[in-house]
Amino acid sequence: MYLNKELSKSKKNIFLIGEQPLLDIDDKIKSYAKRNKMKLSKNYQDWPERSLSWKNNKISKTIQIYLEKENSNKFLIWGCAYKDKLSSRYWWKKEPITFEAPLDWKQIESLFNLLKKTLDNIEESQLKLER
Amino acid sequence: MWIWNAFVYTLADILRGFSDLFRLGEGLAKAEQYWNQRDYWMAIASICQDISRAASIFAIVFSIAQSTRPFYQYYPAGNESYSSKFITRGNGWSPPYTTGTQAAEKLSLPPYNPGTAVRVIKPKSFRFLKGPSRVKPKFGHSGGGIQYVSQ
Repeated sequence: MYLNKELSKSKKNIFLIGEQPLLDIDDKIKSYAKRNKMKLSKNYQDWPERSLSWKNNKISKTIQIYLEKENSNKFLIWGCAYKDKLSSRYWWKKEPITFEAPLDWKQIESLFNLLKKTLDNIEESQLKLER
Repeated sequence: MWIWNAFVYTLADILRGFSDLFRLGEGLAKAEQYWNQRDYWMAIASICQDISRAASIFAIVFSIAQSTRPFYQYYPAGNESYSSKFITRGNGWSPPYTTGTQAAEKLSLPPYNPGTAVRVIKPKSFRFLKGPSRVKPKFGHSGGGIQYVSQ
């Protein structure tokens, strides 16, 4: 099993084996985030993932890499731009691209760069109201 | 120190609000007296006093009603042992999103949780609840729902 959550008495003993490919490139993701002035967050809702977020033109941007599903060695990378107006969210999404573990940082970095460039060029008029 | 002061003042306001509950209508009675004495300014001031009492009572009743609204958690159907610190709450007394696609989309649920079932959650007393906050886009979902995180 690729993702093996061993829940013991203590919540601290959760082993996320599925996170290993991300741990292998963590240093590179960290320095990429620092270089591009992005905020890095990890394992949202205890799922193996890394999110890079930043803001430009008053629009929030996110690039995320996450494990596709349990028992899988595939990771998805996607990005989006969004802005909240009152209780509504307007957003633009780039469909996910699949990568297989072990993750090749060079490929990932070039996709990150492409996504960043695309997202930085997104304007408010391109954002659509979420469903 | 300022937190303590804020706490004491809030408590005092609440107690004052409760005492006002029994004095509502007092201003109106006074206003009638002043009106008969042709002291119109005092009559208006008395009515304003009653309005402010009514507003504080409304604020107390509203906040008590708000605090009794239940929290909900969306989880994979059949997995009762699912545990998460993320919970949500709507404007009313029912789950804010339909189970499945809408819950997964609004709450940016991870792939292992399709949000196919929902249950009421009673957060432990005296445990800090972080929120409400708007859910960020994650896992291909737009997010945008309301979430609380139990610490």
